[in-house]
Parts: sequence; C-alpha cells; structure tokens
Amino acid sequence: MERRALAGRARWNVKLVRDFVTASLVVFSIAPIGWLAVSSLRPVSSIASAPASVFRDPWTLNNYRHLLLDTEFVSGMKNSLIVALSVGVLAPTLALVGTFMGRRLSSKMRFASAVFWLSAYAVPAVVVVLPLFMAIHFMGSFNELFILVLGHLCLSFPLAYVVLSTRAITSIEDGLEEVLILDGADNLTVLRHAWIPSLGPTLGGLAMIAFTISMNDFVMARFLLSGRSATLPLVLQGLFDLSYKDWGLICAGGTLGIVAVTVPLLVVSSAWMRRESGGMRG
Amino acid sequence: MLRSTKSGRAALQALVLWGGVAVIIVIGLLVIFVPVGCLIGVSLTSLRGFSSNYSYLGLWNYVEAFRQPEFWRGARNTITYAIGSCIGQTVLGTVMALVLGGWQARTRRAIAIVFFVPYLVVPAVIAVQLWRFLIDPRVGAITLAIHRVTGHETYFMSEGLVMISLIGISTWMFAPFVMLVVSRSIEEIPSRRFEVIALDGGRSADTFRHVVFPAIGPAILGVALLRLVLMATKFDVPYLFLGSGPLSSKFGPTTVLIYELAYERLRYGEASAVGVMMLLTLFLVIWSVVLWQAVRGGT
Repeated sequence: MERRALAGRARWNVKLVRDFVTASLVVFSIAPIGWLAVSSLRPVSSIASAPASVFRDPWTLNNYRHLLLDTEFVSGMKNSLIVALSVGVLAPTLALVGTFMGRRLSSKMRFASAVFWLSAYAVPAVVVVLPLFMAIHFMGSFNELFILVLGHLCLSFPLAYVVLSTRAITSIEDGLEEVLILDGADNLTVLRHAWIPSLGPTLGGLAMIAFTISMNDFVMARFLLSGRSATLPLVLQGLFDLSYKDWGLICAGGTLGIVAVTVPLLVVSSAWMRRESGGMRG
Repeated sequence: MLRSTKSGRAALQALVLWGGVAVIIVIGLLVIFVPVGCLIGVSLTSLRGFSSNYSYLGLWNYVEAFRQPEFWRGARNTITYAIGSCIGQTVLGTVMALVLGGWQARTRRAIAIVFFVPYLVVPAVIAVQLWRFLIDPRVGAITLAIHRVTGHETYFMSEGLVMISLIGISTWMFAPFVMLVVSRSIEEIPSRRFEVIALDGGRSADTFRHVVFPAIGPAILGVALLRLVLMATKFDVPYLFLGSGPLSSKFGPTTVLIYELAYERLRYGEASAVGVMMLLTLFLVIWSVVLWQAVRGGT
C-alpha cells in the first residue's frame, strides 16, 4: 500500500517537473517575441523611459503608421515576397525535374550527383556570394531581384534535390511508374500521374522551406542588392543602423516582419494539410 | 496532322525537361564550380577592388593570412562560437525533445509548434534586433530585470559577455532544429520497449538510461555535427550582432573577417585565400567524420 503511494507520488513529481520545464521552455521560446509585439504598441517615450510599465501608458499604433508611411518597409516587403515566392516555386519544381531526369542515370552517376549536391549544401553562403558578387559586377547587371532569386536558389536547391531524391525512392508507389511506361506514357504523363501525387506533401514542405529561407535571408541580399531593390531584412537592418535608435519603429518592423513570414506559411500549410494527411514536416 | 501534333508535344516535353536540367546545371555551376573556382583563382592574385590591374602572387596571400594575428583571432572565435553554440543548441534541443515526449500527441504537436517559432518564423535580422533590444543597457527588459534584482548594471555587449550573448542568441534560434531531429528519433522507439521496462518496475531514470538514450544517441551525435558545421560557417548572426566596429574585429569569426577583407577593405585576394582555407577545413572535418563513421560501421 505504502509502496503504491510512493510510486504515485514519484509519478506526480515527474509530471510536475515536466510541466515546469515545459512552461519555462514555452516562455523562453515566445516571451521575447511577445515582448517585441507589446513594445511595438507603446509610445517611443514610454519604451525609452526605464523602468517602463507596460500597462501604465496608453497603447498606440503610431510606430506602425510611421513604419508604413515614412520608411521603405512596404517596398522591402514587396521585393521579399516577389523573391521568396519565386524561389518557393522554382526550387521544388527544378528539384523535381532534376530528380526525375536523374532516375534515368546509372546508379553510379546518381550517387555522384547526390554527393555533389550534398557538398554544395556544405559550401557557406558567404563563400558562394563573394564570386557571385564579383561576377555580377563584371557583367554589369547589378541590383536586380532576378540575381537574388538565383542566389537563393543556390541556397535552397541542393537541400530540395537531396530530400526529393531520397523521398522519390520510398514514396512512389511500387511499379506505378513502370506500368505507365509500359503503357506508352511519355515523361510528362509519368511525372504528372506517378511522381507529383506521390511526392506532393514533400514538394509542399520543400516549397515552404525554400520560401522561408528566402524571406529570412540577409547574407545574399546584403551583398547582391542595394537601394530600391532592398528586401525586408535589409530595410529592417537599415532602421537598426540609424545613429538614433527608434526602438518603437524597430519593434514594429520586427513584429510585422515575423507576421510577414508567418502568415504565408500558415496559409500554405493549412491548405496543404487539408489536402494531404501526413507527409514531411519542415 | 495527328503526327505533327504528337511530335510538337514531344518537342515541348523535351524542351521543358532538358530546359529544367540546363537550369539545374547552371545552378550547379553557380553553387560549386564557379564560386570555388573563382575563389581559388582570385586567392592566387593581388586583386583589390574591381581594378583590372592585378598580378599573380602564387601562395603569397595564404602565407600572408597565416602571418596576420586577425586570421588566428578569427579562427579562435569561430571555434569558440561554433562549439559553444553547438553545445547550447544540442543540450537545449534535446531537453525540448525529451519534454515533448512526455505529452499526448495533440498537446505535443501544439507545444512543438511553439518551440519551433524562433527557428522558423524569426529571420536572423529580427532575432538579433529583438535580443539587442532585450539586453540594451537603457531600455532592455532583461537588463532592467537584472538591475532590479541584483542592483548591478549588466552590459551584455561588454568584452566579457559579448561572446556568451552571441552564443545565447544562436542557441535560442537554432535549438528547435535539434529538437526536431531528436524528437523524431524518440518517436521511432518501439512502444514495447517502454512497456517491457515498465513491467520490470523500471523508473523514469531507468527508461531514459536503457531505452531512450541508446536510441537518440546517434541522432544527437549526427545533428550536433551538422550544427557545428553550420555554426562554423554562420555569417549573419555574428555580423548583425557585433556590428561593424571594434567588437566585430575582436570577436568576429572567420566569416566576418572574410566580409571585412572583401567588402570593407576590398582585398579580394586575401579574402579569397581565407575563404579557401575555411572551405578546406570544413570539408576535411566533414569527410573525416564520414570516413570515421564508415570505418566504425564497417561499410
């Protein structure tokens, strides 16, 4: 009886520890973002006067108004979305075509191409961008979002290719491709009826990853863009680099920047999850 | 008529598929051959800025880099930053995964999404600004809280604390990646193993020692190595956090040194030499581990 009580107490203690650690980690993960969002709604004078009380001063949308009307935030957002959506579509599509055509190669060649793309994944962005920067300068086509799309494809494509080539082996229904080929189906039919339905969830996941990588990228944008074509991370960094730090503006920019990444992800992932059950997750 | 439609369709197909392959080859060239080739080529020259007036120097840039104290300082900072943040991320990510394992599926999913927020939806620029805001000596919530509790001013951007702060931010940002990998390997443990140890009267600690840890060990090792490599090549977080100034030259890793040499001092030759050495070290580390694993596994 006593042993059972002790066991029950031990289980209760384990649960208590689990709950406490979970709560602490949840706070650690999202409290900083919550604080950023709350601070974006406070007047600049309130943020700068320490110790500031969150509920003492009235909340305001002035920081957002200032951000949207007086800075390059909107054009930065537009540029980021153009680049990220292009990369989100192109990276999985090209990886699909590459993997599909790669299946027609011998096993040795397939292995060599997998090693090649894995090695490509290990090349640091700062190393890739240096010669790209020089090449673009010598070619004379500078400050173009198209170049940034190419740069971001360099970041996303190797991952997409490696993931797809491993998933293609396991995901495509056994014999389906062979049956279609025996029936005289052409390449596009095989791609449309065997590959895309089987790899749909993976392609959706890869599109989201490519989109996020592109939206979040600072390195490539920093080196390849300037002026009017600046993307969102560059615009936000511009606000931070000002000699006088307007924390209200910075907090509002940060909050909207997080929303800008989150909303498309939520929209795409919820549509995707409605359509597919299971599948790959980022 | 039918035949010409069919041949037109076949030509279109070939164009689409081989066009796609051509784009992939171009990306391949852009990702590996052109950058690495250019890097090696430029590292052997005296190229400064975009001047067409440069000469072949052989390995002089490499020798010169080895002589510079800033090269060794960058290497030391890279090692400190990569190892420190890799340990932080691995420990925190593993704790997150273990904590997740104790919840029911639906709750686990919700908590996992919350844990994943810093990794997925917070761009590096915002993450760094957010933490710089929290630790700002004048308005930072963390600094003010510490001041209220201890009565002391804490300068997280001081020389004694700046590297720890940088490692802390990286840990916050990238620990969810480790969590994802480790929690996946926990989910793959067959439930009968837990049942067996429960029937034997094992406690939670026994379950961890005999079931969970042996199953997640290889995953932890693998993901820690991947994080180590990724952190050693990280540029954005250190650059954004340290800014361009004395902190950057004193605590910046090699990637920041490459940036400073190339874009601020326009010494492309030397920057490329440092880039080549970094790349070689990286490949050496990766392939040593791959070979070691292959020899150990007998494959």
